[in-house]
Amino acid sequence: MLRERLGTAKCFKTAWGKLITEEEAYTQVNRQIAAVCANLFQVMRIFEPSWEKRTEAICEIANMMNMAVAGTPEEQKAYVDMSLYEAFNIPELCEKSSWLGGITGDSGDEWENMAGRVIQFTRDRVEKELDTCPWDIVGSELCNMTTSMFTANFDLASSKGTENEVALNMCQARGCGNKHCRVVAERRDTFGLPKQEWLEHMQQPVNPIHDTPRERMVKEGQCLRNGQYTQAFGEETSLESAYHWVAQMGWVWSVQFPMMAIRDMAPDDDEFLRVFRIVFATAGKNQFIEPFAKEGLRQHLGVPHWVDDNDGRLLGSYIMYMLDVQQVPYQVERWTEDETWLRLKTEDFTARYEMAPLDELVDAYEAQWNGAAKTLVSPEWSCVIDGRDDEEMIIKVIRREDPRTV
Amino acid sequence: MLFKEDSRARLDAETIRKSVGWYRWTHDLVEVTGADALEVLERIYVSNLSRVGVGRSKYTCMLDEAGEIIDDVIVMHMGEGLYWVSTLYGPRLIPWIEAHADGKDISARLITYDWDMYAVQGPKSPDALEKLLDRPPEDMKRFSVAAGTVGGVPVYVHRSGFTGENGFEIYCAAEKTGEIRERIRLAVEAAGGREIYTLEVYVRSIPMEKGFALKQDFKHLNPFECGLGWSVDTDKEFIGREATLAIREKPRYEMVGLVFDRESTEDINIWERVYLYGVEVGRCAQAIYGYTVDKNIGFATIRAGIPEGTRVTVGPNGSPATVVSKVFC
Repeated sequence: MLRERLGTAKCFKTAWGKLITEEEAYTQVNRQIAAVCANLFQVMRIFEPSWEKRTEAICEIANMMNMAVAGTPEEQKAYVDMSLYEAFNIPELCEKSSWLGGITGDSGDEWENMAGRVIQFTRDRVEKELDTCPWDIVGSELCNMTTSMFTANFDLASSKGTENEVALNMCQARGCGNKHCRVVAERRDTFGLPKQEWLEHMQQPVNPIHDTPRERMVKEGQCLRNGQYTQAFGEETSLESAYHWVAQMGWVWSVQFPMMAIRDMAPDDDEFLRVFRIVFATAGKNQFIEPFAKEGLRQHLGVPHWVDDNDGRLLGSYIMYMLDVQQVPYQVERWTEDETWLRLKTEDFTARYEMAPLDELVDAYEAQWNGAAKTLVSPEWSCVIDGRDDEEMIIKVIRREDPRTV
Repeated sequence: MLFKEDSRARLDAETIRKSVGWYRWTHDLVEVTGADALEVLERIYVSNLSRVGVGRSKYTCMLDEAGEIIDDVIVMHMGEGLYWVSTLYGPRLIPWIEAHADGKDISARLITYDWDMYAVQGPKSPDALEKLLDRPPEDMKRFSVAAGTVGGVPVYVHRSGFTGENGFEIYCAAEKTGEIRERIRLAVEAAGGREIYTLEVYVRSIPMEKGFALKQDFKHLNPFECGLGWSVDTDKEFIGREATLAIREKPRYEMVGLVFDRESTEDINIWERVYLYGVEVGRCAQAIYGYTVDKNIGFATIRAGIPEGTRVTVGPNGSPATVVSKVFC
């Protein structure tokens, strides 16, 4: 008997009708947030030449904000009972102590497609090893910054208020060129270790590490491999939930938190925005400078051959793809060979996580897409975002002459 | 994740298998009371609990209407109209009981934070118990529960465990836990044993070797698909009975054991895909190193009808494994 209908799978359509699967979009959103983070960190390096100073500053803010999202100081002390046990279904047979922070860390990793494994999970020692990390392009400062976030995880899981009992070291990091990322937490009292400062979290652990051989490394996180993430005690997160979480929280930890410190590194707000936009514009111009990059995009989006190289809808469809991948809703208002207009709620674009608006995203993407217009289409084309201070804004891909274009 | 070179984990496992070990093993505990408590529990659980007398306990499962296991528990009959249910999902069990109380005289409350529990497990556990209790109960049968005292502190002793070895579980009031913990430590050491440190050894490796699974391993399975058919009393009414009878006739899946060829299983996480000739036939619930069998072993849920001895691969790197009985030793 013939099949009555075809199977179904979750996906979205590009402007040209090609289907992008949920898995592909999830992979892309992680990498896209990492790319914005990488650009932002270039801004940081311009304003603060000292690696130590800038790293310490972003560590400080990331730790503080991670603690703050857990609530008031009193709520932070109760976090282990109120949230950790409930959200992560950690059974009562586990002794309540810092080591359980490893569960929070492992969940965050897997939700963000950082593929790896918990090597060891004991009261005295937790070792987490990653084979891949979408944020591996950002650089060593971010690797350090994550240790300050882990510190918050372990602080919140502590049985003694909010001060953890461990020495926590990212002794290897993909962003530093290592084969693996590796975070090891060892109890200070068991291993005779001192309390650490922010820049002391990338040391070697006391006990030897386990190095997974290349043939048993994995390329994708559990959500892509198995359609879900399952933590040690059986609690499950679907790919759909993990994707939605990343689309909100990925921006918060890797862009918004460091942004707060980086803005302070600039002499003033105007200078910050000037450099910020230049960096993103450069990234945009370089995005499609090679002919094969343009060809690759056309293939990826399914752009038909009749659309010529100087058609602004090339960029328009790329922006639509990016908004879809980032789960930002929009309406297409104009879609002709002369212009693309996309109307969206300003808040949907800036506040991916409602509690933490990120207005700089408008500057970042306007500069980047305007830069990309020059190489993906031609210098005749520009991208502008109108109405950023209104309830709704419009992303426009248009032809524009400007004697002072940058 | 456990590795064969982990000497501390190996020592923990050997202590349970050859001597006696102790560890804190506090589960969620739900107290169920009321004149109709038994009637409601009978409807919720698949086993015949009316045969469980005061002072006895029973391992059983809770199903949904589709006949799939949603929890597995120990029900302890503590007194007339008084039951303790040991589970890992207490806050989820209580609403389920309430939803099926149907106006009956029953109440359920979480008493997890009132009672701490310690496991004393291994062939020498009777020696440790002898040294621990002020007056050890005589001839305690498996799955029996009795009151006793430790240094004058009231406790309940449950002859049970999750290791496949002779063993006991000691319940004490939470405020007395420090004192009881120390007395257990001394008694076990006097019997030649020690504290067990490695969570994955006593939660995973040791139980898996004996075929003991966690609730998460039973995902989508009926008792007749995972070797727990013996616990089902099909002559009584219970939630999921109709589906259970259908599944008993034609099981969809089977829970099996896997023995892995490679020396470690870093690429196999929880719920990894299992392939037969490259075609997905199920999921591997978890892989772990078993120190008694000295192999990497795992539980898997696979398509029914795949015989023991079949060669399969697991995970993204095609880790080769053989289908075996889920009881490894």
